[in-house]
Amino acid sequence: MNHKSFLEQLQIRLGKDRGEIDGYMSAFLQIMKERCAQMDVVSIQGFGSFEPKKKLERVVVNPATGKRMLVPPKMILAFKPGSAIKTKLKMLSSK
Amino acid sequence: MNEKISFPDLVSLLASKMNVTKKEAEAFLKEFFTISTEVISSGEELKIDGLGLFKPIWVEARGSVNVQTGEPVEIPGHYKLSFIPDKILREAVNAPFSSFSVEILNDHVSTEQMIAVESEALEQGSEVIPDESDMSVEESEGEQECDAESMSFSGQDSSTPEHGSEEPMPREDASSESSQPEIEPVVEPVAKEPVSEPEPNPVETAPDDPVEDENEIYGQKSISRRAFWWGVLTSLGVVVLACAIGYAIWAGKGSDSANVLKIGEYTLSLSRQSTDKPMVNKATEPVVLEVQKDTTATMPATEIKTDTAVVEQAFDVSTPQPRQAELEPTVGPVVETIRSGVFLTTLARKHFGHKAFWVYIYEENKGVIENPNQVPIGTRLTIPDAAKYGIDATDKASVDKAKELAVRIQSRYE
Repeated sequence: MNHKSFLEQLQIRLGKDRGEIDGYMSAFLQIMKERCAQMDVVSIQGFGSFEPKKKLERVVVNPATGKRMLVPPKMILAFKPGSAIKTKLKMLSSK
Repeated sequence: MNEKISFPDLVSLLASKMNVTKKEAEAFLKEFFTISTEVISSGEELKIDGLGLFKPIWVEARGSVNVQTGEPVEIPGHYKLSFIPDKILREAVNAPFSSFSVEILNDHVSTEQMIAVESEALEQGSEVIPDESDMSVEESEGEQECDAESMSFSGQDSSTPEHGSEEPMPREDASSESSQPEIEPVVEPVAKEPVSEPEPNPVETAPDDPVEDENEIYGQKSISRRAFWWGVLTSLGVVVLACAIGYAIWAGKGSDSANVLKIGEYTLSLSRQSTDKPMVNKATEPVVLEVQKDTTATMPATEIKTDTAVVEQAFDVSTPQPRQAELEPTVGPVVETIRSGVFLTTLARKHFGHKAFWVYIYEENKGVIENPNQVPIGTRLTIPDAAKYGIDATDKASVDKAKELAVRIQSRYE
């Protein structure tokens, strides 16, 4: 599902017009951005948690050229699915 | 910082941002996550601009082993959820490190040097400089390079021959020991223990004290000088260590190597301790004192050394009885022939229950094995009695001792 159809779904379920939904979305994403940049963990019951994580620098080798490269340290945003999603995916797998 | 934001927190944040009631904000977020959960759970991928892409990925079934039992287990195919944050979000999170970029390394640049350079570039404080020189010295120490500066220093050179003149004495001990029946390894487990403990102590403690003392007296002026002497000192220590180990291996070929090595290390640790003190004092005091300090330092060294010789003789006296007692069990030795796919480790596992004990099979068959890593097929090996070397697979200390010995043996073949 892409962004557009997702917004349409939201619109139908909430019964609000598009402009309002867009306002909520941008506000929500703004909050996510600010909080994750501050290394805060956003954890939503039943959905999962967004955790910013520190990754150390490392040396990688380009297998094609054999060149060694130093990848700098970085922060990444990791998502851990919550139990609800996990169990549903598990049921999907066993089918 | 590092707060955990739960759903209610998120609701109140959104409500205050949008100037709406919490109820409305909650309704929106609830619906948002419900739809997301539904979509993801159905195995469909979900892309939300500004947040990222959630994508369930099918993982094929694969084989694995149960770590505890060693049984093969099959992990069935399953879905795994992958999340790729949107570019905007990713960059916002990575903002503190955004200035870095991937760098291509030249072939001969080692990572340690890179780290040293980076830290130098980052912290340009005056206090970093001595640390840096310390680091560089330690690196050269690892490569066993000899500083040109350490050679120009006469006091140190005179101290190295000292060890040479000291060592013949322990060698006599060793040769007299080896003239006795050739079941020396019995002594090993008993006599080896003191070696491991006294060795690291002088290395750690000795350099620290003088450095601190000096720091009080001289303060910042002598920092760079101190770093230099400290570097010279450590590099000298490495050279001495290398010489002693080399000598010990050379001398140990004919007779029992472990014993000689032990003596070499012993004298080494002692002489290091003694040389450390005059070294650092010299850095602060006039050169005239040099000679006196050296002579005084060597005296205790030789005294302690004679002590160790006495201790070893004491070990010798105590061991003959058990030695003869253990001659009997080895009368009917177990003989194994090396076949393709059979290694010393497999034999050790078969006979002693742990692969680490291959070292004792090697010790027993030194005469026929040239290189423990490549034992020719068809070689007939005598499997030693487990009690002879104190082999016990259930005893962790025994296994560790075997591993320690393995490291020493391996280092000879590299």
